[in-house]
Amino acid sequence: MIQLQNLTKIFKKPIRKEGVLGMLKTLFSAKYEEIVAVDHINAEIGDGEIVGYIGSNGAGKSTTIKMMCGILTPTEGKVLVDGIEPYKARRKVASKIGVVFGQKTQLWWDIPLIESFKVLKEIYRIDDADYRERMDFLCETLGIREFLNQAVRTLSLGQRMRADLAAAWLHNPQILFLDEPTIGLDVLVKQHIREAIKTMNAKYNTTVILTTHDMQDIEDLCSRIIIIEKGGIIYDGPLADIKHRFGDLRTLTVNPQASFDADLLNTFDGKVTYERDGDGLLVKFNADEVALEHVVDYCFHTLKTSDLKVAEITVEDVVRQILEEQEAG
Amino acid sequence: MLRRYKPFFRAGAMETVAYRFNIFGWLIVSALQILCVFFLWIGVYSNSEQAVINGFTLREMLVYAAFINVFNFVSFPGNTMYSVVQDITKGTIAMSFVKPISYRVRFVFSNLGAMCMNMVLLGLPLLAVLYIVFAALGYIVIAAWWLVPLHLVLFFAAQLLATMLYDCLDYICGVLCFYTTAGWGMNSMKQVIVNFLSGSLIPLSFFPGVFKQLLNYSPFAGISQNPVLILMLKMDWANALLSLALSLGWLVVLEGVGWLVFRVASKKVTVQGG
Amino acid sequence: MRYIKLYFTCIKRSIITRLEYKRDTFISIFNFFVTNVASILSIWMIMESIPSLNGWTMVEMGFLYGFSMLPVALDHIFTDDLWSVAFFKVQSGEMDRMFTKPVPVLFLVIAETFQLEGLGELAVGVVMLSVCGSMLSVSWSFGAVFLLIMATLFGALMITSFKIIFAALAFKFKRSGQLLQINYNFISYTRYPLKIYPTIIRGLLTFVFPFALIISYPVEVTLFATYSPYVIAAVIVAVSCALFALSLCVWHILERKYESTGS
Repeated sequence: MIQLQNLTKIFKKPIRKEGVLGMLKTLFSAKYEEIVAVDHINAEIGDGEIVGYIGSNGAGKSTTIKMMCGILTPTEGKVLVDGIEPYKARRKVASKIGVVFGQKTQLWWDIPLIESFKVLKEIYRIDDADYRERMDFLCETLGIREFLNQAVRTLSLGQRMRADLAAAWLHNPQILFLDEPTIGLDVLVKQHIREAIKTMNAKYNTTVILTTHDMQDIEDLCSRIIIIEKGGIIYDGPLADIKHRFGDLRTLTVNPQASFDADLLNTFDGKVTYERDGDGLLVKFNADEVALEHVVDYCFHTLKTSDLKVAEITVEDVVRQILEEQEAG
Repeated sequence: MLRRYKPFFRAGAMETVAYRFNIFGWLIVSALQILCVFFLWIGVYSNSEQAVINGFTLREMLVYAAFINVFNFVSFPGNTMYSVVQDITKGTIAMSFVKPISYRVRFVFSNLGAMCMNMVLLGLPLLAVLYIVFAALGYIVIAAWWLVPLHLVLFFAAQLLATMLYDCLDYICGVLCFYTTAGWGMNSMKQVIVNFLSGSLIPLSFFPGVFKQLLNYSPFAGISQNPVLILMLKMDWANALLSLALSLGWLVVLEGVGWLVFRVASKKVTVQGG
Repeated sequence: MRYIKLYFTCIKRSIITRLEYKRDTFISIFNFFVTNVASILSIWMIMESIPSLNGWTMVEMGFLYGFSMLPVALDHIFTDDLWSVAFFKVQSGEMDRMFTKPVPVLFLVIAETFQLEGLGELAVGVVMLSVCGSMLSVSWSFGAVFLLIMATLFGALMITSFKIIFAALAFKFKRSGQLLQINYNFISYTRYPLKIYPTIIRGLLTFVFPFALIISYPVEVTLFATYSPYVIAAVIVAVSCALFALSLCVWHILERKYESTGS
């Protein structure tokens, strides 16, 4: 179980001035500004949960995760992992957690993948039987067996991410932190990775905390989401709730051939909104209220669009919606 | 034509300021180095029967040791080799083939920018103080006052050429890293070899017979030894001009070599697909 | 026991890596060769111009230089990753992965590399030592050999201790590479006879950065029988062990200051 109590992190950053002269000035007097990355957040995450931790860039996601791993010390408040504060007893917590930072690999670059696993086996003191059993399972689920003998630098991004996941799961951690596990991967690989996470979570009852920008990740994996914006939690609850509140929002990007006036377009009883976007038009609606095919039909036949793109709701949309709602309420 | 390289000059200068920690650290590191060399030379001269060893008196040697240390730090800020190696390993080098500016020339400007900033921030004040102290102590003998501005001009010209020569060697070494990933080893080896052959460890006049002659006409003499000798008035203006001409000639030759090496090596990149 | 096994697993990893890039490893080894050749040639050219340096001949200087390489090389082989900690690993956040492992960080740093270059350095040192030694017809008494071996082993420990202390400062200041360089500056002072330095520098090298203790004195004892080898050996062992204990404390305290880089 993880508890966040009034967790706060403030960074000090030197103020950089523009231009050569400004640089010279900072040379002699460095001023610092305080940046509140995480601002008094409270949450509790139970065993075996898969929690989506989302927010826009710089909202404070990584900072929170780093505090939970013990590599950043909170300015105020605390994190408790099974009752222990990780930054105070790093080594004790280390064997309970596994970490995958999407962009940085934990694996050793130049040696065959299997050698990295062997080193990790020694570091985490995994006994032979466990090691074999888990390797078999991970190889199966993540499909890494075929490149076990390749050097990590020769792996594709998707292969490397799978390898990194296996490495983080090898010592059977109670808690797994995944920072952008599907970033930059193609749809099929993403699908594969999500399936694997689900299977492994079911088998080992691992608590998984993942940050992502991909709504699909959240929909497939998370029963609960925590949304953070400007250092504070703006939503904590089941995903179904969010969906219920905002519905199945869609955005169509079209480029109508016929001349149009966005203000005058008013069909579907005002349930569809239109916005100009340069030469094109953004058509927004809730697919629970209006059938997608009707809108598409309308776009092709009435607006005479030559092209059409359907986008589902993004993390940024959700954040914006919640903030708007809070301001209104 | 050269206008569009101005941003690189500026960026080089700004980067220099950003690493102020480096400068203060360097001051201590080199003060210790210079001190060690001082004691070594004092020991050497006190064990010698002659007052002049290979054309240097003890006083001149101390001035030389102090100046060359400052000169090297100020004049070769370059990380050209590092940048080239980075561009190769990350594959960003392909991008620079498409840009309308020369991959080579922008390094020259960025280095010149860094050198000028170094000179303003550190080189000029430090050299001025050292110069005045040494002159007052009689370690630098000024035969006529007008020699000073003349030699200063010659020195700045020599320094400009030295920076460009070093940068060119740096560039060539960087390009050679197309063939290896031992960037650190290559860089360190380059530094040691250039230091040794340019008279930074000991003046080239200590080298045995034929090597001394060869090195005096090599591009290395113009990288460290000759600019410093010009500054300390130990090389007259005629020889200084000769040295400048020689450096200029070598610069043309080495840039040609760099261009050639780059052409050959970049073919390999395109084959590999970056 | 567990850590010994872990150490060998990690070292095996490091060596496999180096062998992946044979040409690069060769270049790095060659680099150390070139560096030392340049220094030795410089000393030789200087010594050509004078009969002796405060009583030291060229061959004796070579002996001193050769010996000074041994503890440095030994330390270099085992603890090279401390350099990258001091120079960039803290700043770039690469230490994060070490801080999320259930093993002491210092152990992981030490086990990160087994620097093959050091072996080359060690070999050059031993060759210089034996060539100059035989030219000088040094009497290899048991005491002298014992002292040189102890000075090599515990000298390396002393150098490592200083490296640990300076590298640990990176946890507080993000970068401390240049402090490490200063450390090496002092080591390079011991490549020349102590006699050329004024008293204050000699004191500094004996009591503050006691590298004279592990390099200059043992060589003087071997060449000129100035002191009893056993006394010097005992002092070296005591001072090195004390410094090592101190360095572990410093590391332990500063390690807690480690903060991953933001964002």
